[in-house]
Amino acid sequence: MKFWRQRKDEDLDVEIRSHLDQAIRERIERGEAPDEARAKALREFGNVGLVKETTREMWGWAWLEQFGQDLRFGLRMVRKNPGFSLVAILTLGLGIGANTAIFGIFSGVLLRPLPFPNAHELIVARGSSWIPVVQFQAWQAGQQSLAQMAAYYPREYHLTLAAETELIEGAEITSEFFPTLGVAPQRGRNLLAEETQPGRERVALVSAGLWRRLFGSAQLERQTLRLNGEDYQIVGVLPESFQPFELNLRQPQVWVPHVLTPIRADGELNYVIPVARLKNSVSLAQAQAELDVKLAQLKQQRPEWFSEASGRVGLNTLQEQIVAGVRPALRLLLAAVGFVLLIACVNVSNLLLARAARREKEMAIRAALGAGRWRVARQMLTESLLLSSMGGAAGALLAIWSLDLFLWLLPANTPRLGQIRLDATALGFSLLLSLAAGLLFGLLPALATARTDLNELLKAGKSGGGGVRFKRMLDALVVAEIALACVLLAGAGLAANSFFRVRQVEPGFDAERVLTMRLQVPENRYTTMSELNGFYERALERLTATPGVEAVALANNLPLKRANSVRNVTIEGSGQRRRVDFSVVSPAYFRALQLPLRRGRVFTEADTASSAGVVVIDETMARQNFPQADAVGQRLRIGEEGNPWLEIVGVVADSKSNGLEGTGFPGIYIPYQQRQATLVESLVGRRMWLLARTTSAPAQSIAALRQAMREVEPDQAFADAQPLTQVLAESIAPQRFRAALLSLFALVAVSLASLGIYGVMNYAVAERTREIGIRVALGAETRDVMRLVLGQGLALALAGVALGVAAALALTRLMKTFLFGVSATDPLTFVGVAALLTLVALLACWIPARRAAKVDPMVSLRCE
Amino acid sequence: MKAYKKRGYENRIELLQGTLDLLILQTLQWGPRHGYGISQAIRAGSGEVLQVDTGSLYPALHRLERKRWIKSEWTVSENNQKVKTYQLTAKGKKQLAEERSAWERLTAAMAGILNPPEGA
Repeated sequence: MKFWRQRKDEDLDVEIRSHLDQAIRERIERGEAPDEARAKALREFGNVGLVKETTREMWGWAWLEQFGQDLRFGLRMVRKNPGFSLVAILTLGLGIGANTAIFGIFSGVLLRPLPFPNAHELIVARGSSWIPVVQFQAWQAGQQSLAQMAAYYPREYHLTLAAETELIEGAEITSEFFPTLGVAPQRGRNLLAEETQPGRERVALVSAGLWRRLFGSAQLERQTLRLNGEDYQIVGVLPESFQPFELNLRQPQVWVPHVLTPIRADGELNYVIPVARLKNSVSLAQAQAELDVKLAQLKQQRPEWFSEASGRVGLNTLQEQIVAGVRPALRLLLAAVGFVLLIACVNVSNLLLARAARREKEMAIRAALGAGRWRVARQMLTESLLLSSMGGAAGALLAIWSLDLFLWLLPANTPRLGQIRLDATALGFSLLLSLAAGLLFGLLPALATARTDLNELLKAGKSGGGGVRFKRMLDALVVAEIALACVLLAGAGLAANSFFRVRQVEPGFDAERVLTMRLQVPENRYTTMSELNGFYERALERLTATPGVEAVALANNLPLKRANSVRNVTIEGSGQRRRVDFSVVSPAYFRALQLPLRRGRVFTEADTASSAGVVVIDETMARQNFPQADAVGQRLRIGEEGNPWLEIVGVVADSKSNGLEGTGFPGIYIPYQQRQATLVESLVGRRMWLLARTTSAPAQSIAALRQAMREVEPDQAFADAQPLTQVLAESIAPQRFRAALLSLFALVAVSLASLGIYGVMNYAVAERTREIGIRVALGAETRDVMRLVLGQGLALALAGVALGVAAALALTRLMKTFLFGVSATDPLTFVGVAALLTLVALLACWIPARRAAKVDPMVSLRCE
Repeated sequence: MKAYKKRGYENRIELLQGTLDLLILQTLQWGPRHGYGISQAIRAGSGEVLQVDTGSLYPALHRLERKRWIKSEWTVSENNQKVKTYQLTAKGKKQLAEERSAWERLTAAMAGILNPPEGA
């Protein structure tokens, strides 16, 4: 086009020159002197430039060319006012960047479909929870609503390698598992139905990662894997992309057949986790209705399998299941970050408006030279779109850089964390945002300029500056900005307040210098309880002897994560029934966690499977049940009537069992060797936690402890070694994430708002220089002038804060569920927010106020 | 020269909107001409009354060319100079006929109003 355009221009030049030449020649032929002929011909022709210009407009590219002009002019404005442009671009960049990053997270977690074909058809029991095999089978028999259904059973396996043993994740699955998910092995085949029959189950599928690590490019045939001391034939390798953390499996590496066994050898029910695929014409509600009917029938036939509470299985789509927990938090952040962008827009709008006011004269001259209102408005809009695209580019960069920060802040258990990246959708979103922002903040200045009354302006004869109309708009924008910032600040204040309160909660134990490790003893090893206990005794003894280790304890649960170990107990005498959190622990547990003993004693090596049954209770338990008497020496019973009475031998301090935010039940402790005798639903205790109190940083002891464990049992490994402090920190990570992000956004918002009020006051002072000059000339002192300016700023700030507090009171209710220990209308937070914002606004007005105070009346009066 | 200029000015008639197009098309009816030629022809044809402003002539030529009523080509003039000449297209001839009849209706109507028949 450029080329075409240039040629057309040249042609026009030649055409006009030939016109002139002919005119001159004819005059000469008529007898005029050459010089005179030339001058007259030129005069007759008129303004060559203008003729060219109007002719060019006929070419049909006028609008494009005008746009180009506007753009070039806009760029020149950007270059000529680097400070202004930088502030505008950075402001927008902040707003757009933060939005893009949060949107990236939002879309990665919530919007992107699960990596399974027709993922919306996949359903699970609510919470991906376990259901009894008897229910699963009753559900399966003759069901009409599901295309396919499968069950799985997450497990851990000891994988024996040449040099060492590793604890890896895996799952037992029914043969329909992969077909239900719609996943086909990358090599080899799926499990066969007959391989889930007893005796045929020594086959396995492995993850692509494990295959690569162990076998590389070997042939699939005849490769075996030694799991828990047994050989499994590998029949298939899963695709690299298959990472089913959607199913509450973190990094499963092996998949082996699951033999559905409804009833265990001891008569208890077995459980599995179901996953199913709806027929495509069937809704979730229909499937639920069918399941409800079937379970009601089963409950009637076999009432002994159900307690009054159990039985109903709520279904949920897998997608909903995964995102339901995080959706409210992400929405909150998206709303917050949206506010930031809004403030950024208002701010830039403000800047542009103030500049438009100063440029009124320029615009008036343009209008006088024939530019239409629309033309002038269009130029203003082009300028703002130019700024917003630059802001958008800066924002995209910022988003790319800040995403890592946000991801680092995100709780590690956020679903689909690994899938979060800034893809085309997110960048498209940021492009859209920048255009929308450009229109949003450009519209007001553009319209304001277009409405400028030429006559009035020229009559006023001022040096630019649009007076009352602009001033009012600027004021309104600043008030809006402060109000928006106030809402964000209130939200951030509440979130931060919650976070600090959660952090101040005493866990009851000392998490410093404690290392936690997960232990899984394979079922085919130490098959009797006494063998297993013997192994634990030897392991504890050996591990405790490791240099740098003060105490090593065994427990069935980590502190803070005991929520699912709840039992009923009955108090002897009063016969009161209580729900309690129980922990099965070794004697060193209380020392390892520095859990203070209040009365009596803790467990000793003498509390074994054959000695009398004992328990230790916590203070809450003691206070609730034995308010008058001494709890030590009293007895209680776990579970049903007929179970043995257990003597309370000690009372220890309370500790948080259900997370720092949770309330939990009172706690009781049971010596690990008595776990089977005392808890009637037998706890075999193959999956245990080790807690090691170390003398220095806990992570330094991991290698030594691993080595010590290998000496006790070469094939025994432990996994997930991490300091307890980290467990603690992770438990409040969501609070931290919200508080950190909201505070960050609030900080940006307040900075932008103060920038806004600064700009407006600066403008106001410049506008009133003359008036201030007169005041000073008439005897006003520095103090008076400053009071004048600060008073004006304060009025704006207070109006904004009042509006903002009102809006915040309405909006923070929506974040009630995220708060801990503060109400959504916490007066202290609100007063603090209002005071802080007012103070910041006043500070922002300070500089303009100083400038006003320094106005020299002589200069200010002379300058006009 | 002063007299000439003055006379030119006094006798000049503002062209009605749209009439320039008709004049150009009409002028080109007798064969291809360049811009200067067209302006001279209009001036001469109107007895020096109509003087086409170059600031109107060239935009009009380019506009008509865009509407494909006329087309242009580069030729060499009798003075051995490269000039751009315009000529009517078939579409332009049709347009000329239409504009002529429209013009005639207009002038007839104008005449009817300005010179009412005696006795009316």
